[in-house]
Amino acid sequence: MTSSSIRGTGRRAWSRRKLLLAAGATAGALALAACSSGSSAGSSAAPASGTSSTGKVTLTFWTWVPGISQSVSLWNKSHPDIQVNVDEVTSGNAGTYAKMFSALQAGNAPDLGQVEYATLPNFEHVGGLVDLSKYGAGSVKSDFVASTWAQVSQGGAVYGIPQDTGPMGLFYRADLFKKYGLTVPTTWAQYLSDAQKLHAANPSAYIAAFPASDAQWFSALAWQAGAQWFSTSGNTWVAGINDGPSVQVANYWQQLISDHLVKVEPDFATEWYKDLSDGTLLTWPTAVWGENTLSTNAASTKGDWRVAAMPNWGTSQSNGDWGGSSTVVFKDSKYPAQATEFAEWLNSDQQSITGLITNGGLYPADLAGEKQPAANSPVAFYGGQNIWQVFQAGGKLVNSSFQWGPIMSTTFTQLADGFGKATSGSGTLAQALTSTQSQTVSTMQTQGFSVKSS
Amino acid sequence: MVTGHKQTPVATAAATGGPAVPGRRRPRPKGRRHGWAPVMLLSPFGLLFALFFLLPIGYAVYQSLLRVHVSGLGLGPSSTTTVFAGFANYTQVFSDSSFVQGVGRVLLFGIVQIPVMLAFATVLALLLDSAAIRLRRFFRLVYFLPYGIPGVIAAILWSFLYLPGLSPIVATLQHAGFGTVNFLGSDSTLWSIANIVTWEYTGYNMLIIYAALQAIPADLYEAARLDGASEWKVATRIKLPMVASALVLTAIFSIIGTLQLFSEPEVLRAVTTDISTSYTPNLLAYTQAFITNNPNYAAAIAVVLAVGTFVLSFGFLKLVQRRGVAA
Repeated sequence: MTSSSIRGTGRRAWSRRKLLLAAGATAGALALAACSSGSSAGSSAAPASGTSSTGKVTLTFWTWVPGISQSVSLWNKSHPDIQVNVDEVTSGNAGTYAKMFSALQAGNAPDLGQVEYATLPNFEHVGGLVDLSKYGAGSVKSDFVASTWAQVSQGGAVYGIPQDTGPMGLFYRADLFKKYGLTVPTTWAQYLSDAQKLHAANPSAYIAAFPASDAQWFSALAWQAGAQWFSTSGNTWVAGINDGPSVQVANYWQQLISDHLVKVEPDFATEWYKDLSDGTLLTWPTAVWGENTLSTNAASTKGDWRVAAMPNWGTSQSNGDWGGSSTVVFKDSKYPAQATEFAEWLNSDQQSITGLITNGGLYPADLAGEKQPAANSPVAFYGGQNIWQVFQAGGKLVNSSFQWGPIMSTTFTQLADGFGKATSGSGTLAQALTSTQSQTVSTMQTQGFSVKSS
Repeated sequence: MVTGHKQTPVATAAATGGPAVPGRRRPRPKGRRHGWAPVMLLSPFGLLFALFFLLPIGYAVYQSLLRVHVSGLGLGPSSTTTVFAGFANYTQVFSDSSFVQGVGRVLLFGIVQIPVMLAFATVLALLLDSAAIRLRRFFRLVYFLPYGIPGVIAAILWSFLYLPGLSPIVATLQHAGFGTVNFLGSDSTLWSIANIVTWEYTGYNMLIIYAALQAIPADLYEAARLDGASEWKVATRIKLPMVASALVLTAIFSIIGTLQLFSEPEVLRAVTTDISTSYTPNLLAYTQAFITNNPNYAAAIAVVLAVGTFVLSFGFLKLVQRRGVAA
């Protein structure tokens, strides 16, 4: 459950969030006996859609992007007939998804909501989302990075408007690379030899951390290698979590773990921040929003980090994506056309995007938005490097055929638990992939899905 | 309501829900009948008990009998339906290896941690109660203090003492030549959690035992001393047998609390990769309900857990009663 939801929305104080998360979790457990679907929506979940006598439409929007209300107020000023109320909620996996599912079951979901790409199919299969292509959303397809559009659409249906994206890049300590005489790797083979060289020079420094409990991080690496975790064939899901590319990536990191070249520890944790600050970790392969995580949590290393394109497997260039979310319209909305219009505007109007970048810390999925100065200027923390250009190029390389399955939260949980076991010494990462594959398939079969292994 | 060990949801619900219940009109004098008095006096409790205890449990049981059924790809509005599943969720609970492992883990935890904690609590209570102690009120407060810290905060606090890069304990042990002690490794995590729980609840249990000690009439001690009993004999022959029922009570509280273990592992999950999402049965129920959107299965786990807690607590009570320990 850690943190995946924030990934799309960079700027957060992590430690504080963890605390709140934990506190919320405890309250949740105590409420468990009384847990019920449908009753937890609360008063704020009441359907706020309604027209006044003048024909004015009011829409409710559940989102957790910091400062998004400033973008929304721009819309409200220029669209007096379609007013949008922002309901600031906690991030998806910290409770909002559960609340959304409950509200959908009770029939009082808001008009609009924030949903991460990986969770979209989950909402699709409970019939919670409006197909926006009925309201002309197909026409804005070319505004967005291709891989993001692929994640919001299923066949001809469009279930959300892409908001932000997380193309991967390699953050590395330029100063320490120089000190240890390492070359910036362009392939994973070079990355491995850097790791070995570093370990020989200083056994207490590591090329990177391996966050066993962060299955989404691994999914981005598998994505880059060409994994196809899910696809559809006719009326059947095809699951391939242990396909060739995924196993290749798993075996690669297994070697790094077994040779003690990486430090196994959870990411976004106190110890990990410390390791990023004090030179224990030399690189962090992560998404564009990691930029903010580093500059806020390893502030003392200002000027030491640089960003390079992700190392590649062999000669062909490809990339993966981590995080990012979309704006969806829920089935209970009485005004899906107006809601669609707003969702398109929010994520493609340049003024709105400026707000999302500067207040929300998002990296836009909108192609024009990526050219804005706010997401395309040198950054002092990275020694004046215009790191955005690395990600702009990297975003174009993201493999668009990667698809999420319908029960990703379950799959991620199973994978994280499997990796946890493997790093504690029982089994390997590749075995964890295989067990996740069989568990996911059997969970889906139990629920009635038509599914087979690839 | 902060820690998993405080078993007072009903009392809290009743306390907070009380004022909201509309006051019943007093019946007119001519309608007054004897039989009404108990009903009237019981009805505020009965109503709240039904509303905040029986109803939610009943609803959880009902939910646990349902199951979401998906057809085909599961895309589109009518492809997902909720169907009656009978006991299918329960069969799944008992065949779920992560649930069985979690239960095994908390049982092992309880078998080791509860006796250790209660032994500590008893010794502290006896020390506080002994005639020789100075600053009694001060120490009583100090021992009790950890209980005043919410479980989540305690776990965060301890996580800083466990993390190798931050912990003064690890650093000290390292300097003393013990090597790098890993408090959060696969063999040690459970006992690190046990340490936190012991730290939190020893003072609380001590206070219950201490209160029982205070209730022992002083003439018993007097008689013992006249017979030439030492302090040690007084403690083992009079005090301990007299507080046996308090020990039973604390043991039952601890059994319930152990099975409900949640906040400590949940917090430590953020700092170690060794705690899975199904580390304890409660954590598994939480994951199923709020992470993987499977509330029906979570309800079944919760019901099994509740029944298990009930059986263990009352089983323990029956056991000690049969042996004549509890008065």
